[in-house]
Amino acid sequence: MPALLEVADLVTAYGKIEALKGVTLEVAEGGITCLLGPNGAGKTTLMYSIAGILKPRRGSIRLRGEELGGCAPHEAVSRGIALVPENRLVFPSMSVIDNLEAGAYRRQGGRTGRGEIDADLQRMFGRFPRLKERSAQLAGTLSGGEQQMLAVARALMSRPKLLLMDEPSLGLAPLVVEEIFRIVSELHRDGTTVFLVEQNAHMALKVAQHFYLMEQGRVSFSGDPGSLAEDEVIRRAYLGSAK
Amino acid sequence: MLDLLQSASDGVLYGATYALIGIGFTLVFGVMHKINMAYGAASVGGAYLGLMVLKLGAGLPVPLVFFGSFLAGGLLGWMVYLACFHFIPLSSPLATLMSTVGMLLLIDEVIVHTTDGMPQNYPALFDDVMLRFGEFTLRGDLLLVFLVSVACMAGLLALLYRTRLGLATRAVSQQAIAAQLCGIRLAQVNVTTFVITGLLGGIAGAMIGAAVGTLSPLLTTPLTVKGLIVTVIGGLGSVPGAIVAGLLVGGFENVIQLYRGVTERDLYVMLLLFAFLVFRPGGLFAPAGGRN
Repeated sequence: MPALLEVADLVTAYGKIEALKGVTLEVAEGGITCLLGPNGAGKTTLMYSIAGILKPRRGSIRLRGEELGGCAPHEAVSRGIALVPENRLVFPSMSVIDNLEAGAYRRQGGRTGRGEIDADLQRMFGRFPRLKERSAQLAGTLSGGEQQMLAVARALMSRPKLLLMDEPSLGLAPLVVEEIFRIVSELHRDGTTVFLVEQNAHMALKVAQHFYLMEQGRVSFSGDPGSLAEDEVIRRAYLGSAK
Repeated sequence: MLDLLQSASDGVLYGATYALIGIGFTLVFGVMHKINMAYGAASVGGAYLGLMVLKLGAGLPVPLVFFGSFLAGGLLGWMVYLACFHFIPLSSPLATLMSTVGMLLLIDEVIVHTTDGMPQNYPALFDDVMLRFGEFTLRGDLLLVFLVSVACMAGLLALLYRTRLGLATRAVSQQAIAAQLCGIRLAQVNVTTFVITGLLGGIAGAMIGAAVGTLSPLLTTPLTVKGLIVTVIGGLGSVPGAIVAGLLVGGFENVIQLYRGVTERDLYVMLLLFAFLVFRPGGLFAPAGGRN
């Protein structure tokens, strides 16, 4: 499969400290690619760099061959990138429906008609019935799992080509984690390209086709699920010692 | 008892101007997490500019002075943004505080020099109107101040809750990173917030001029202090809080003035602030933090 996203030799720094020290990886179109790594490896920094929140110091980020590196977040959204951020970051004092409207912000008031956005809202409510039940409720009053679903739905409202997800299972109960992963594989089946950051390698193994491992700002492993399970170090660190 | 009611209602009507000023502080704080110390001065400045328009074009209808102040306030809001925020590193918490305090002093100085420090008469509207309910009265000029302020607040709330711009403003004030991820441009929201609060400030300045009957550079400091008190009592970042707190402070200070006189009035307002800081530091309407 061709690469939708190509990141090459990316360096992003906070002041003098380089959080990314030359990251190179690819995300295949139509697939689920998973990025593993310990806390502080630079996974979230990479996500924020792709989404335009952080400005990379060097290197390139290409979406279908077009350079994105250094562009502002609103341009990244317009070009088809949506990030479901770590810790969900819903708008707590806004209703569920306003959160979703905010997700479609760049499509509003422009050429896309109101009807199209309303149709997308209905599709989200179809996919996430819980959000429909709570559409008038303030997002801050939702449970963690519901907030995660809201964050995913909000990102989808921009109709992204590439969906970035930063640790969607963080802090959620096992049953809710299962549900989140079910949604991820549904999105994949519907043709969305997903780039997923996860610590839960067991769950990720069930859905992703390609894996990267990041450590201390560098990619230290790249391979398919089979080779991931065979790698001694990864097995011990991420899958537990039991084979 | 009637005196009490009369003072409270006069105070609440005048308090609508405090509410407008409080909204201005609170909106900017909500969006940028910065205090715009120049806001009270810029509002009075807007009122002065509106008055100048009226003086230049003699014979213009008096209500135009309000509209002039409204526009001038918006222009000043934009200028304050450019001078005090746009080129200044926002990551430093003190930088914009200093730049806006500087702007406060500058606006004060400009007003003093252009008017030779003399208070300017301000046209009062409906000051001959008086609604009587037995002994209880509502002054026409205060009623106008109240109604115009309420209309501005209603307009602002409609803007915040019914428009795309309002959606962006609320999103930025609740979660700036997520707002950017939705494609909302922070710089754009910041500058429009300054223009909108400036427009409100111009109206507030004009209303204060109309209610007091004069404009003077001595208005800026008490207005800044009252605006900040209203913002804290209402809850930093909360627009409904600023509205309620503005009316509350207005009514409270007028009642105190009745019983303790004008010299002690502000002392009790400060005590009210102190009580809030101790017993309810988040203010009346502390914004919901959400569960995280």
